[in-house]
Amino acid sequence: MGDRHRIVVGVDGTEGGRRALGWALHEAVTRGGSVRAVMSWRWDTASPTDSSETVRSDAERTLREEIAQQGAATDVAVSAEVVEGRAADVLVHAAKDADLLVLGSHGHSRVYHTVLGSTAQEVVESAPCPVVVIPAGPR
Amino acid sequence: MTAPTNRHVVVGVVGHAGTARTLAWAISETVTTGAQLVVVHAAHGLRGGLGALQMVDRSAAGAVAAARARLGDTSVRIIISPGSPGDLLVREAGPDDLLVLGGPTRSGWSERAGTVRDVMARARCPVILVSEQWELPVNVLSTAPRPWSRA
Repeated sequence: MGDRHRIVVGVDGTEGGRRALGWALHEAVTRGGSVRAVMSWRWDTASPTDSSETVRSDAERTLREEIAQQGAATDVAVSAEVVEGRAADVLVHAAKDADLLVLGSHGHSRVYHTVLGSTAQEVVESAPCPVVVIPAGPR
Repeated sequence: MTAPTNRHVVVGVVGHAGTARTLAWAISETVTTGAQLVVVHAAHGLRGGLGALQMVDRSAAGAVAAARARLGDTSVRIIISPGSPGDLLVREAGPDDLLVLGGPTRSGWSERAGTVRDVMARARCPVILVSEQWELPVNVLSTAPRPWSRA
């Protein structure tokens, strides 16, 4: 690990993304690292009445709010990035120079796809660095 | 850099090629952060520490012995025990710890999907998946004790 531990975290407005961002911030405080929070958006999966500009600005607002909610109390360098594309592609690309890529799991289930989520599974298969999956917590 | 207080890095050793990468990352994390390393392997009819690990995976045992020499005996714990790998790993890793497992192999998830699925469903702490596709970076190579420094 380098002196500046570079952590990329996937944020998507869900509880899993929130857990991932919280852990990434805590880890960055502890290790003296930085956090790059990444959110992807796609116009073709949004409501047909929304313009691409609306979808993008909604994603930007969500990401800002998520960071503000959790990051306000820390001194960590946090950068935010909203990128158009498939979530798995965006996250794998964002992790190119990262030490860790952090994702939230979808919850407790014996079904692998449900536990990890199809996006997370695809990311783990392609990521250029170790992937940290934050569990839903003790039952 | 410091690790969260009393953190354990719990790593599953499965006795095949992907173990080298997973163990190298775990050892490097331990060296860097000052956490305690816990090496876990589930084996039928086998129980013990470094001697038992040598019977299961000589290369892994060499790396763990090197890590012990560098970090001290009390910083590296080895648990070889009968039972399910998932049960052992989940039991040993508390909420403040890190669990380190091998991710997909070059041929996919088939070899370890069962254990990963089981651990992901029950883990009390973050789970780090180290893929076989991941190239060991120079900073990990320089931190992890031999023989993984030549991996």
